Amino acid sequence: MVKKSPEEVRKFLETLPDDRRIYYQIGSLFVQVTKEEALKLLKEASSSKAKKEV
Amino acid sequence: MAEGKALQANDQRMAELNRELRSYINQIEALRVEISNIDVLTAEYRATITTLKNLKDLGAGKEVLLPVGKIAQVAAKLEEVSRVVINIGSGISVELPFDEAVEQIKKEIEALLIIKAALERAMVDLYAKVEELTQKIREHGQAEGAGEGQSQKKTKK
Repeated sequence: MVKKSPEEVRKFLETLPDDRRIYYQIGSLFVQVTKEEALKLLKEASSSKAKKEV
Repeated sequence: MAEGKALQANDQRMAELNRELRSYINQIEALRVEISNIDVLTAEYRATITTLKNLKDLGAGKEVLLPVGKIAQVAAKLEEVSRVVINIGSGISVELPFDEAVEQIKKEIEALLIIKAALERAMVDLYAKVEELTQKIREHGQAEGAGEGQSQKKTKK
C-alpha cells in the first residue's frame, strides 16, 4: 500500500457514510471502532509521531 | 617536487570520481530494490482483485479454508461477498461495498505505478550520470598515464 499520511486517512474517513464499519488494527487484532474513535486514534497517532520527530 | 604534487592531486581527483561513481551505483541499486518491491506489491494487489472477484462469483454458502497462522486452516462458510474490509493506512481499515473496494485497490495500483515510473526516470538519470562519470574516469586515467610516461622520459634523459 502506498503510505498515506494520517491526514489523508482522516480525509478519507470523513467522506464515508456513517453506517460503514471501521476497524483499528492492534497487533494482529482488528477492533471495530466508531468513526469518532477512529478519528481520535488517528489524531493521537499523528501527535505522538510529531513528538517523536521533535 | 611539483610533479609529485601534481600526481597526488591526480590521485585525489581519481579517488573523488570513483567515490562519486560508487555513490551513483548504490543509488541505482536502492532504486532497483524499491522498484522490485513495487512490482511485488502490484502483483499482489492484482491477485487480490482476482481473488475477490472469484469469491464473489462463487457466491454464498461455499466452503472455504481460512488460514490460521502460516500452517493451519479451518473451514468456514462463505457469506455473500458484498462488502470488503480494506486497509487504508495508519492502522485503519474500513468496510467498503465490493465495487468500491475493487476501485480502491485499483487506485492503489495506479498510485504505485506512478511512483514506479518516477523511480525508473530517476534510474535513467543516474545511469546517464554513471556513463558520464565513467567517461571522465577513463579520460582522467589516460591523461594520468600520459603524464607519467612523459615524466619517466625526462628522468631517463
